[in-house]
Amino acid sequence: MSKPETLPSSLREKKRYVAFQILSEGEIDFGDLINALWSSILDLFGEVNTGEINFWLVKDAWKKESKRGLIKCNHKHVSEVRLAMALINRIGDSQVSIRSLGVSGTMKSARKKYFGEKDLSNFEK
Amino acid sequence: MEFYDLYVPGEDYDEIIETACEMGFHGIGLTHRYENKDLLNRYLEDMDEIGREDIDIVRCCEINAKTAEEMKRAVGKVRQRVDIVEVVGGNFDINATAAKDRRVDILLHPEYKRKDPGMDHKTTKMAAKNEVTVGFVLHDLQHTYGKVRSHVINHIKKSIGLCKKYEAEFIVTSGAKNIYGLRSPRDLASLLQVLGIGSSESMDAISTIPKKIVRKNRKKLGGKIKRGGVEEV
Repeated sequence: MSKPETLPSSLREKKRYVAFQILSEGEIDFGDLINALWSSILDLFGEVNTGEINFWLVKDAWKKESKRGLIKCNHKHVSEVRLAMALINRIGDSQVSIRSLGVSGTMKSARKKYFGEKDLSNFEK
Repeated sequence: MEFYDLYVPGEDYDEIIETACEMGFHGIGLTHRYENKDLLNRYLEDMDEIGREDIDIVRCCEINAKTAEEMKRAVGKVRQRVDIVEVVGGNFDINATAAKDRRVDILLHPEYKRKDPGMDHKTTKMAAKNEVTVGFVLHDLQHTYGKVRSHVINHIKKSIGLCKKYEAEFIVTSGAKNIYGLRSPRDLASLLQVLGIGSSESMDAISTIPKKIVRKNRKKLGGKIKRGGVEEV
């Protein structure tokens, strides 16, 4: 099936990746996390503003062991995402605290900075 | 930049301090709710025992009085013994009396359980004149939903507007009762940013202003600032 071509970078919407970590007693189910984040942001900012925030939780970046993840959003609405995360105090049945670790422009640098992932760019034999 | 959270009424001190360190705070105000002299003495002993050097432990005392007279009496009892005196707002008489009282450092959530911001132009002017800082508590937003939360946000926004107009200082605190209530400094600042306050002013509300209050009070308690604001250099 055909799909639209990728827009040139000047026409693309600018985005940021907010890295976060969850502090909780038990394990966190990814489905519960998505529900908690979406309901928090929709309750706080409403449907119209959430559309502008362009909020998206990156599934591939979720680390179950360290309870760290990435949220993609518009570059002008990082503080909205931070506040929505700060207002969550329960996910599923467990009490939680979500704290933002930092903000990055690309997923690659976010993974490097906040998840401690390494690539082979500095590899020496 | 050194970040401070000056209202943490939790009782599990070690866990709270550890989490605050991880979150990047340089100072944390472990807050005691004043009830009587004995409990205050025990709290001060506990603070002496902590002995951490990587984080500044600020001795804070919150006064939750029913009347303005009761509040004044309690402030007199704790003023010389703790770094920061915080008054829990909500009752308009208490808000107004706290704003007039130079011994009070922080007036916490003046809009608490009210249908208005709890502050008017006169109260805000008095707070600015008497160097009483207005404290907004994130805990109030975490535990309210829908209609109530929208009112709280509206009242906070109105109070901030008044504070800016009359140059009264304001801070943001977590109001955490346990480690799950703590939030990182930038998450606290995001509350103000969402309400339309600029980035540098929001950061001041969690760093410069609380640090200034703590330093000034420690100088006063150490006898370096005499009556009338004369400072010993």
